[in-house]
Amino acid sequence: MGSTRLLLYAARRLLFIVPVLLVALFLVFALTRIVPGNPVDRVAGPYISNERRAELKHIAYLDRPFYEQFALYLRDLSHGNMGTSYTTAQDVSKDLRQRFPATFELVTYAMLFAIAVAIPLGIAAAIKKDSWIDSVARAVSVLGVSMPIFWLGLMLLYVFFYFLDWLPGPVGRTGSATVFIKPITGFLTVDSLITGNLDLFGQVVKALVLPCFTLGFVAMAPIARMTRAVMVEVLQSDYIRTARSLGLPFRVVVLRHALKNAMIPILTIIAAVYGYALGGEVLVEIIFSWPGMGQYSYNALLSSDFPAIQGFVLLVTLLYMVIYLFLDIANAALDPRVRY
Amino acid sequence: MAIEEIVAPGSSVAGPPPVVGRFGDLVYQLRGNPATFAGLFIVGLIFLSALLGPVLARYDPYGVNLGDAALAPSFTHPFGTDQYGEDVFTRVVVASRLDLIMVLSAVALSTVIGVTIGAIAGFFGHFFDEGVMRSQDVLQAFPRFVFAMAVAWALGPGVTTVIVATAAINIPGYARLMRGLMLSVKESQFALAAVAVGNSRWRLLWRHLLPNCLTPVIVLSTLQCGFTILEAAGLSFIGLGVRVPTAEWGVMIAMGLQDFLQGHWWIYTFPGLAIAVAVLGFNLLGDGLQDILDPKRRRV
Repeated sequence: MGSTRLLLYAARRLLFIVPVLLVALFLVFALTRIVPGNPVDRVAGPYISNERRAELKHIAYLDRPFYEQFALYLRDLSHGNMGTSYTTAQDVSKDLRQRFPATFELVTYAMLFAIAVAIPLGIAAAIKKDSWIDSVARAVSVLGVSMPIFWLGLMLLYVFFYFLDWLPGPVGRTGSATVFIKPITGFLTVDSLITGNLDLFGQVVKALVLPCFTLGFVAMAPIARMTRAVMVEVLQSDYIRTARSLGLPFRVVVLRHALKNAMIPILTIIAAVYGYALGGEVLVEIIFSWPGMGQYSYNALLSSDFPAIQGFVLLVTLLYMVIYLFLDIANAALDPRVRY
Repeated sequence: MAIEEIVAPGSSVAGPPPVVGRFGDLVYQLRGNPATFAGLFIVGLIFLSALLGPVLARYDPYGVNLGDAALAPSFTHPFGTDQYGEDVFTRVVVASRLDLIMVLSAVALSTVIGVTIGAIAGFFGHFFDEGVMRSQDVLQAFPRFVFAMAVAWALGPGVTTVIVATAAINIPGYARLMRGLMLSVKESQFALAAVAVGNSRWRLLWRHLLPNCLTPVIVLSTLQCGFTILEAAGLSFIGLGVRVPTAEWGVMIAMGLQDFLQGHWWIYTFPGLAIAVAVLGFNLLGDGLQDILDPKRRRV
């Protein structure tokens, strides 16, 4: 596979993102505009004059038909303007830039934790089928998909914050620290280390523990399950038997030969869970008062903040598509049979 | 390997040979599969409490009694009382009816719509197929829960909202599954034979192809029941589904959250446990059905 062909493939996939984004945006427009009630009434309250109300509607394009609003939004978007949020009164792009790092940091650490536990667990369960470690893997994957994530968060908060008081309560990213640093990357673990603020770093890490564990535990289940299922199948295949009969050490066979071939479905499920978590950890953010995109979208929905909802959907859909693009490229790199 | 296939492993030690008859066979399958049996037991228990719960309850689930507010679990109130003095145990039991109704309706709705879309896409192919699959791609790029939130918000709070919102996010899954099954089944020998003896296209689809795709659909529906409980509870928890005084598991956890700093753990712990157990039951049952209904995986 030539690298130019891979680039061409990536370019084609990137082009495919555009129509998907358009359709997703159109759906959001349709969904928000059919709802009775007008955001102007909710934002401005009942005590403004009718002229002012009409003026506000005009500024937000809300006096125009639905398809014109859509066209105007696309026009503004092409100039890099995502509109102004009705609730925060600043650019949606700025809002999202402020909140994205919080979500990204939380989800990434949670996924790293989930992967670090789930893949070894799945491999061990596959090697020692029907042993105690297999039972543990099974329990983890069954419990992880059975527990309501917001309830798990609450229970952990009760034990580690209320009862034991080891970890900070649901007060956001810095726990009890009131230090404020100017965001450099927006990722507080990185920023606090760059500025050498070890005290803040400790607080940030402590604040991350519970939300990360909550999200990670739920993310762990499908990954462990998939790893076990694929590894069981791969370990029974002929080439593994051959590799073993050639006298290769078991570790090498498992890690280099079996795992490499099992990686494609495992990566697929990781990408799916990661994409899901990036947009879907609303409940975790609400429980832990985490100032990320999930809470932003929730508040935007509750206050009919149309530009904010649109911006959020645009960003999340884009992230999702990019994750899948990376996945496909990784698959192509891992599997020589993949033609593109 | 070859010998194992002829003489199924463990068949001589696992109990008596298969009993003839459907019920006997079911009992035999369940005996070799304790996890499935546990799942069946839990699901049965939920159905039972949904049916009889309101009759057996010792307290009124909406009986506000501020004198008994936020009592810790005791013999008179096994799960304690919430901040309005309502008995948590009664509410957990009574809520099973509402939750079960919401979940079964949502799953039925998404199954019917999704299976129809998928079957049409797979059977007729071409234009239908392209259209359906591309729109699925878009829907899948949405985070599921955010999509449900948006639908629920658009419809306004209520039981119907929860049903429609949780059904909407599951339709793509069914459509995708059904399309794949239909694509493979319609190329099979028996489909060709049915066409050869003169069945019309619709009869072929309804009488010959659809019934042969049902097993995976049943399994998926059972598993979806579990996920739908989680999503319905999540929606109600953040206030977009069923609203506050209602005895519903998600709502009850939300009520517990209000009292979190008072340390009244029992208000949210028990409804959450009920959800976890219910979802666990449906998951175990779904996994087990997969083993039992699939001729290649069932016990010999």
